[in-house]
Amino acid sequence: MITEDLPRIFEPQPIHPLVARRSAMLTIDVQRGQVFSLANKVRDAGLHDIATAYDSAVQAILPRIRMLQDRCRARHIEVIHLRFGSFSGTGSDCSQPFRLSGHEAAAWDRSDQIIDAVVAPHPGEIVMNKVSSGAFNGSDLDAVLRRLGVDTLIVAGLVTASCVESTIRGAADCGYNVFVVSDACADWTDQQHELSLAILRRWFATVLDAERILRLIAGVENDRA
Amino acid sequence: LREWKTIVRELVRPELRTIWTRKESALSALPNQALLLIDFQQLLGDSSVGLGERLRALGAQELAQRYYSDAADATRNAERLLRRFRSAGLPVVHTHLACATVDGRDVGALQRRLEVWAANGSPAADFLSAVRPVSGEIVIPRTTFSLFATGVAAQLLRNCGITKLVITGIGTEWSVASTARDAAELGFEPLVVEDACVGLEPTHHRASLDFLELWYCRVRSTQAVLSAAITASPV
Repeated sequence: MITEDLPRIFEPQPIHPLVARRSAMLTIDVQRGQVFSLANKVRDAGLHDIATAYDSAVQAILPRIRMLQDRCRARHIEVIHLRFGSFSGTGSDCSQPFRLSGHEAAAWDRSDQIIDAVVAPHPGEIVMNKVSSGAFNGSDLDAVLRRLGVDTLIVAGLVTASCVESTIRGAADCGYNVFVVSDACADWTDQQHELSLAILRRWFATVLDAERILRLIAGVENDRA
Repeated sequence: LREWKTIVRELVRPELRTIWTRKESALSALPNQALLLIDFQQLLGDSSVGLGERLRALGAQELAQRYYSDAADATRNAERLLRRFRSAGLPVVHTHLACATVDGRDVGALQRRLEVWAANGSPAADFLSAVRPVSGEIVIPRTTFSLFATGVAAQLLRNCGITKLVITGIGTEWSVASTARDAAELGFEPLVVEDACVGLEPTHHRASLDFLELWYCRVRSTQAVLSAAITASPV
């Protein structure tokens, strides 16, 4: 379906060794709302095949995200959790695309906002709330990363062509080196997932599978210890 | 206490108050819909400059031929919209990739590596003649893909009273999609004109438009936008 029918005319970023104190792993919206509520909504609309495929795609990426997080922790790479929701609790403060699509945007203490247990934050890790799909529009992520001295991001989560892609587009414009973990992101259909990754690969980021990212993490100079 | 109140009141002299009376009515009359033209510049739209040179050097003749033919179509459609917006007296905003230095040291690492940058004043930064800005139109130079990654853009549009953006440009899957996504998330109402945009790869062009329409904004044809009454109200 997606053919590399063109010469690789653009190579967004050369693969270089990660430096622990300058790297962070972002997990995007791996929360109950994205995992369960939305799938149920799709199922209720009669699109059982899409809901089932999405469910299994999400179940497949969860252990991979967990493994990436644990390896990052072991190498003192900052693990940051992003989640979508509303400060008012009604969604009135969320970005227009979410409001217009009737996306449930509940308060932070609602169950929709609970990050999946498999990839839950450890005590002391940064959890950031956002009111938009792209984290660079609807949160203080850029300021936080600059304070941490981070210039390289490892990105995983949900949903590839919306929140993940928008966050990476923002990260690229803010000057970060971005690695996307292709098999630690999921979308409603494989086609959307692959098309989004193809666009990201050509213009915005280095797209690698978890195995290659884990190798990069293993090669990190542990200069934070 | 009375004495203190008198002193405070005298800090602002009454005759100054009459000079700087706020004229609120001046704001309410502003049209809220603007045409946005993204990167219709030689770097991306003239086959003898920038991207065209690189594609030729890579031997991607077929791709280049299709891309520049589609780019010419998109430019023609943008020109039709431009004429309509100008005759309706609606604001037009141009943005182009144009950095402040000759060597590009003020350009982000990504855009530098992709060679998607141009020095302000160079032929590569220059607008395509069919859609060149005229005096009075806003021109925002930038070095990022999204117009809104350039800090001043959102404020500038809000200052002008612009809330609705009809978006055209090069290229769909990089600057146009990033700008439309950000516009929607920052509270503007974007509408992307599908045949007034061009992408480097047709599948990426189409996918970007589909993702925009699925989650972020309306996607319409030039004809549909022209057929609607273009006034201060939405299309």
